[in-house]
Formats: sequence, C-alpha cells, structure tokens
Amino acid sequence: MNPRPEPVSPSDAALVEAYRAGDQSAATLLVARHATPLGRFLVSSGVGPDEAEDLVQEALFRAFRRIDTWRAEASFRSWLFTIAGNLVKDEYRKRRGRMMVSIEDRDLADHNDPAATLDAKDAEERLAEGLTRLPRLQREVFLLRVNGGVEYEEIAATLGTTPGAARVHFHHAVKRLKELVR
Amino acid sequence: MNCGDLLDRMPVVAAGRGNWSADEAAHLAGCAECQEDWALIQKARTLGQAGEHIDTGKIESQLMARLATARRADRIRRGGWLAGLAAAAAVTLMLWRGSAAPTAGPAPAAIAPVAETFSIPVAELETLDGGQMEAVLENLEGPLSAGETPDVPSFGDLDNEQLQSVLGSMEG
Repeated sequence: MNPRPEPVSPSDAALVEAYRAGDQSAATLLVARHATPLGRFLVSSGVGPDEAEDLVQEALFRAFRRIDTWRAEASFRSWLFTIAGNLVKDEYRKRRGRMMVSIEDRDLADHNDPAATLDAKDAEERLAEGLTRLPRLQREVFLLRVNGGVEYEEIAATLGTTPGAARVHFHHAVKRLKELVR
Repeated sequence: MNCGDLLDRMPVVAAGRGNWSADEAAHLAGCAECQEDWALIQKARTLGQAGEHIDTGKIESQLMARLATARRADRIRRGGWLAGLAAAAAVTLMLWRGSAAPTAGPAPAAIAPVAETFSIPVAELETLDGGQMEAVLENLEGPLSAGETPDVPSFGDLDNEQLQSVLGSMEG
C-alpha cells in the first residue's frame, strides 16, 4: 500500500493570487504563515513586544492593501519585512530617534545564575543598542538574514542591491556588532 | 572552509534549517573568531524571541475586519465617483441638447417667413386716426418678407457646430 502523500501547502505566490481573485481565506493562511516571523523581525528591530502586535497587524494591512504591487521578484516574507522595516523607521522618526523599547521590557532568557543573567542582559542590551546604530542597509540585511533566514539573492532583490553587496553588508554588520557587544 | 563561508551558514543553522557538516563543525571548534560570530548570531536570534508571543488569532481577526471595512469604503468611494460621473454626463447631455435644439426642428423659427410671425398690435391701431391709418396701410403694400425681419439671430453669435446645424436644416 502506498503511503498517503503529504498535503502540499500552497505557495505564497499561489495564495496571493487567490487573494487577488477574491479568496479571503488565502489572507488568513498568509497571516498564519508570516505573522510570527514578522513579530520576531520587529522586536529584533527595536520594537517593544507590546507594540509588535499592532505593528505586525499594520504591516500586514498595508501589504494586503497594496498586494498588487508585489511582483514575486522577492519572497512575500521579505517584502513584508521591508514594509515592517519602513514602519519601524517611521515610528523611530516620530519618536525623534529614541529607541522604541527599553531593554528592561524585553523577555530575557531566564537563568538561575544571577551573574549569568546580568551578563546576558548586558550583552542583549548592547546588541540591541548596536543594531540601532548600524547603517540602515546593514541592519536590514542582518535582520533579514538572521531572523528571516533569507538568502542573499532574495535580500538583494528586496533591498535593491546585489547579492554580493548584501553579503558584504552582512559581514560588516557582524563585525561592527561584535565590536559593540565586546 | 573559511570563516566567511561559515558565517554565511550560521543563520541557517541558528534557525534550525540545517546542521553543521563535519568540516564546518571542526572549523567552528577550533576558531575563536567564528565562535564569537556564532555567539552573536544566536544572541541576535534571542532578541527576536519576544516577538514570537504575539497573538496571531487576534491579529488575523482584527486584520480581516479592517480589510473588509477598507473594501467597503473603497466601494462607497467608487460608487460616489460613478454617481458624480453620471451626473456630469447628464448635465453635459442636457447642455449639448440645448445647444443642438435649433437643428432638431424642421427649420429654425427665426428664419421662417416673416409673414408667419409678423404682427401689429391691434390696440395700437385703434388709437390711430384716419390719416395715420392710411399711412400704415401704404407701408404694408410692399411684400412683408422684403422688409425688416424681427428678431433674426445674428449668425455671428453661433459656433461652428450650431452654424453647421443651421445649414443642415436649411438644406431641406
């Protein structure tokens, strides 16, 4: 007896096409697929966990409202991350450059060792601070690569650069962050 | 295997979408620089963990409601725009019909034979004495159409389309 084939989940492109054709349920599948990575991306970008939910919703709302502009040259997820990145930038500007969240508000790893907790907290604080100090392109490439696991080709298509340049930005970002965290 | 290649692989392994190969694991074990990179990548991933606790169900329901509201608003806007367009079309049609009216009838009244339209108020005649009445009668002896025609529009007031309409009606 042949094993039953695994149900193939529709691709993002197929779901977007279905949504464009009026199938609202396609949107719920896309939300279920991308909301959590989007939340992770936003919190890594300096958004507080409390605000992340609102910004995830806003990013998705904007994406669905201009879904016709997505050309599938970049993945749907990296396109969402770009929209979310612009939202963060707008919020950051509104607050006149202040970070959106204090490191105290973050859910830090729960360690039994107070010294280790303090070290971890300190390192996270410096890393979060360091991320806000990176040039925008370096930060976006770093966050797309680390949080989204996005390949350089896709990052390049999303951010309008070349895969080689995206790789250089990632390596630069890592180098600068290491210096800031040390 | 070099440090750069290993750094490129780190996000993939950190996300759990791949494992270290034997070569990679050996390099990582013996390279302090790469260990520092690896620690940073893992730390950067933990920064985003708080973002994983968002309520996707709530986001989904609120988002779908917002999208439905936005679509309704779009429809209303589109409807208003169409109504405006229809009103503008109706006004244009009325104006066009108004300007084209002289061409619609068999012949413009203004260029009809004067005899059909000329009249002298009778009450005024009644006030005339015999001599004056004779004078009026003398003036009426000539053909009326050869005299002045009342209220003939000046063609200079008409635009090309109206003139063409008038010419068309005169051909009949």
